[in-house]
This record gives sequence, structure tokens and C-alpha cells, in this order.
Amino acid sequence: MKSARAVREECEDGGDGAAPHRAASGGLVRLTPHALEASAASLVRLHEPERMNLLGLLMRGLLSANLEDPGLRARALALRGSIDVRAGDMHVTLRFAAEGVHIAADGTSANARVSGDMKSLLGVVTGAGMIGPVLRGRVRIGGNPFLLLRVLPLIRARAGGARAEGDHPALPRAEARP
Amino acid sequence: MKRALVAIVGADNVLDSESDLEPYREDYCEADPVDPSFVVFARTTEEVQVIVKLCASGRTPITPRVAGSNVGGLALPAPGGIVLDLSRMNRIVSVDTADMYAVIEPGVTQADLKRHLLERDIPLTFGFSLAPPDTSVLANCLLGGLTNRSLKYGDQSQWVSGLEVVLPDGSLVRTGSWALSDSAFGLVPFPDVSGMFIGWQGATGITTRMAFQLWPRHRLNKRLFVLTYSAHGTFEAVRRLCRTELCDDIGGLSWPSAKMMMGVKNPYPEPATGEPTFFLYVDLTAETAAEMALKEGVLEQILADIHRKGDRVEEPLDVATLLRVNPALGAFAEFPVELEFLTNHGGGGLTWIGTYGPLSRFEDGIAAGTEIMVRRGFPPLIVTRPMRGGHYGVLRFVAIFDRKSPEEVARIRELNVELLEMVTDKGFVMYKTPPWAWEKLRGRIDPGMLELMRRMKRLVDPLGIMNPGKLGF
Repeated sequence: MKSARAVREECEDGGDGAAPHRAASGGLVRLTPHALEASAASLVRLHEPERMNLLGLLMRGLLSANLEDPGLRARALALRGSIDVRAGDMHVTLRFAAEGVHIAADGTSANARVSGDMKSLLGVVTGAGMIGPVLRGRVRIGGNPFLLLRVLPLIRARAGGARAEGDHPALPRAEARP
Repeated sequence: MKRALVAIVGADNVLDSESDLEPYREDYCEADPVDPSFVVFARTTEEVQVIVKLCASGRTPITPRVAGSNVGGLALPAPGGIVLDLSRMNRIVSVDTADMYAVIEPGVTQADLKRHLLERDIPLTFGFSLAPPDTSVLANCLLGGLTNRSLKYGDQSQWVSGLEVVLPDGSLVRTGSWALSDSAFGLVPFPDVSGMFIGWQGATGITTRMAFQLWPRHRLNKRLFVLTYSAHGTFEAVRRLCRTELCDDIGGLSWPSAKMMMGVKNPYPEPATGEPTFFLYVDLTAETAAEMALKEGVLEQILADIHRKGDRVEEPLDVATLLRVNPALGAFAEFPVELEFLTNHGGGGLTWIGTYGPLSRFEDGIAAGTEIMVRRGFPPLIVTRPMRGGHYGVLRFVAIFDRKSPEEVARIRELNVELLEMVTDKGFVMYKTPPWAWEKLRGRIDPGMLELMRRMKRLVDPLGIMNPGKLGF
């Protein structure tokens, strides 16, 4: 995993305060130092937080946690495009831009789509893999598959932030006994 | 008075400065603050007896208190009275592992007792309320509060197996089997005198020790979350799961609670399109993996059947999965829990209309309560749980507010009055009833029962010094 400094150095050769980085769409994009230094949470913005659905809030949690990682942050900030995530009847659109990720539930069109029931989608983001659920028809994908492949690591629950059952301080331990 | 109190408990255990009394003037709720004259810390039953006798001699009101986190003003003092702070009476006197009960003092908290049992590897457990870890187990029992073992065993007052109480004249009484036996195994077979002190909100005496039942702690446990999309589907699932007798707990929370846990301070009062309306958390325990798998299988079958019949419910999600997705959901991973979004928000106010009532009427009550809360601009934060095998359940409407805003306090009061009238009309009964609500309900309660309560109160507390202002006394 790259350090924040390494990522910064990698990006700080643009001379104009912005760093060139290869975008998902194929072109070079500029990463602003501001975006690289900002807190992860501030890079993930909700459209109308008070009205945002549960799925959008879960996505914000995942993205905010993952964007703490300098490598993932750089990848997120280099991405351009939007992806529609649908769990049951809930859906949100994740838009990736130089300023960060914007999450909205406004139903506008996106470059890629992923949908399924809540359990299957949570399985995907917690590392169960995408292929099996897609083949079983529990998760459906559409649109730009390359964008989807680039987004997936950004919305995957990370090993560092996740612990096995029983290890997490907030998981039930009271019932465990020899 | 101060000299006499200092002589009993020492100067360090008597507070009377304005800053020291400040935390005792109010709790989380919308009740007006009340200034006590003194706060006194007792450490022994004998000290409590002498303090009570002193108060009786001067007709000084006494209000018992431990954490002070009640949301109905039940631990607020009477004007000019003293607060008897029992938080330093915090001994776990004994745990009878063979007969599965504990004897504790009032200051023993949920966290204390849990730690005690775990550190000694005692294979017993008890239920946790949704109150913070530093709240009193004894107080929740005496007030008939609920816990995450209430589905199996009822509200916590039903677990009490014996009491030691200082009466308003300073005398001491032991109830239940304890009155004769050295074992506090139960309230049977004598007349249940404990009923004089359970549900009375401290108006009949100060309980200084309590024996109460513990329950087996099984080797395996699992907490599963089920997202549901209609009140009917939610409570159809709850009622059917109750009758399997397989679940240790089924808690139900409406959609705003999940949002608030994930940092939305004031969710829009109506759910977003396609959003689940409730999430259930289901606790399963087992001695073997096979037993657990069997229970999970039955749970999944019932949910699938409800789904097939037209009420959309999701498949159960393991709490570990949800935690990996968003650690904020860890608030429901382990009890007791500090629900910061309720107790530590900017406005500081927390209130509720908490009721017990028939599970068959939950959908009706929730629809009416939701309409009231939404119309008044509050997100419908609703907490439910079936209790005692599903014979009844808790239906609670929760609101947070800014205590510093008189307008918001006024709105909250109006909201609570309307909710109280609605739930009472539908046959629900408010528990831990605040004084204002008791006054509203007084005209609807059976007059014979009220008269009997009045006679009982006069019998044990003729001077009326015990927690005045509660239950209409």
C-alpha cells in the first residue's frame, strides 16, 4: 500500500497544483492537492443527507472508510463517471469527480449499474465476490464494466476496518465461554 | 438538617452547593427542573434507615436516585426535598450459581454485573436494557423496564425474587422466600408483598437490596438483522417467531434509528423511496452449532413464507456483515449500549411515550403514532419488542429535542400528550409513567384500583415523604 507521501509525490508533477492521473474513462485527469489532503469523510458528500436512504448512508460509510487509504483515495479521485447501485427498491447514484464522490438518490442516468437484494450486495462488498452472485442471478450488472471493476474496490469493506466475528470490540462476546 | 446528614454519612457524602446540585435538577426529558435541598450519598442499608428516620422526623421528601438517566422525571426531587443518591451502594452481594439468582445493591450497573459474571466465568447472564451501561439494574427491575431477555422472561420486574426495603419509618422488611428462607429463590409461596414496591416509583420505600433471577448463558450466540418493508410484515414475522419459542430476543426499530446511528441527526420524517421501514434484530443462542443451524433454518423458513405471501422482508443479515459495512451499526452489536445519537446530541433532550400492549394491535398503533409524529415534524423513531413469549410487547415512540428551546419543549409536550391519548385509546399502557402522564390517565384508570393504591400508600407512608409527586401522590 502506498503511503500518503508516495501518492502525493506521484501526483505532484503537474506544476499547476494539480496532478495528472489516469481516469477510468482513459484520459488523464488532474488531482488537486486539496482533494488529496482533505479528510476522507469530507470527500464523500451526500445530496440531501436528511432524505438520503439507508443504502446511500451505507455507501457513504464504506467510501469514507476506504478513502482513508491514500492509494484508494487517489484511485477514487482519478475516477470519472457514475454508477447506479440498487438494493431492492432503494437506489443511489455514486458520481466520481475530482472533488470527491457525490452520492444522490435522484435517479439520473449512470454509466454503470449494479443491483440485487440487500444480502447479496452486502456479500459483494464484504468480499464474497461478484461472479458467483451474478451467475446465480442474485446480482445484476450493466453499463461500463471497466468502471464497475474500478469502483468495486472502493466500496468493498476493507480487512483493516473489518474484523472476524468475535474479534470486533462491538461484537457480542458475552455468550462465549469455554 | 445538614449537620444531621453529615453526622450520618460524613461531610463528603452531603452536597448542597449550587454546582453540585445542578446535575440532580433534571434528567433527559422535558420535565421542569427542580432544585433539591441536599444530595446525600448512602453506602449501607443502616445509613439509609437513619436518613429515612431523619427525613420522617422533619417531613422532608426523599427521592431515590442512581444514574439519573430516567426520561420521565421519576428521579427528580420534590421541591425542598433531598435526593438520596444510591450509586455508592454498588455491591454485588452474591451470585448463587446453582439456583441462578444474584443479590445486588441499587448502585450496581448493567456494566458492573456483566463484568462480574464474565470475569468469574459464571455461565449465567441477565438482560440489558437499551439504557447506557452505567444505569442501575435494580431500578430497571423495580420500574418494570424491559431488556433483551424480555421476550423469554418478561419485563424485568418479573425476575425479582426478593427485596430488602427500608420503609418510610426507617424499619426494614424482606420479601419473598427471603422472609423465611436463607435462599431468595422466588416470590412464592407467600402473598406477594414485593408488589408494594415494584412499579411504585419509590413512593413506598427505598429498596436497598434485591434478589433477581439470572439466566443460562449459552455457548453460542448470534444476532441477525432482518430488513422489513411494512408494519404488517414486520409484526407478522414477530408474532410467528414468538410462537416458535426459538428466539432470545426480537427487537424492532423503525427506519430513522438506523439513519441516526449513521450520523443523520434529523432525518426527514418520511422514509425515502424503497427504504425498509423496520429492521428487526433477532438474537439466537445455542449450545451446539447444530442447534444454532436449526434455529436459523426455522427463522429463514418463516421469513421466506411471509415474503412469499406478499410482505416483503429481506433475508437475515449477520451483525458481523453489517459491522464491516458500517461500524456505526455496532451500536447494536453488543449490550449494554451507549446510544449516543439519543443521549449525546446537540439539544440534549430525550423523551418517549413507552407503552406495553397487545402485539395484535401493533400495526394499528404504529400507523397512528407515525402519522402523529410525521404531522408534527418528528421522525417516527419507534422501538418495539415482543415480551414474555409474545403475550405482550413494548411499543415506544422516541423523540430527541433541544432542551434549551422553549418552543421545542412545548412541541414535545404537545406531541407526547397526543401520543399518550392515542396509545391509551388503543389499549396500550404507559410504563415508567411520568407524573404528567399519570395525571392525564387518572380519570381513565379503574377508580377501585386508584383507591386501593391510595390506601396502600397511606398505610406505608402516612407522612407522604417518599418520592412525592409520582403516581399522583
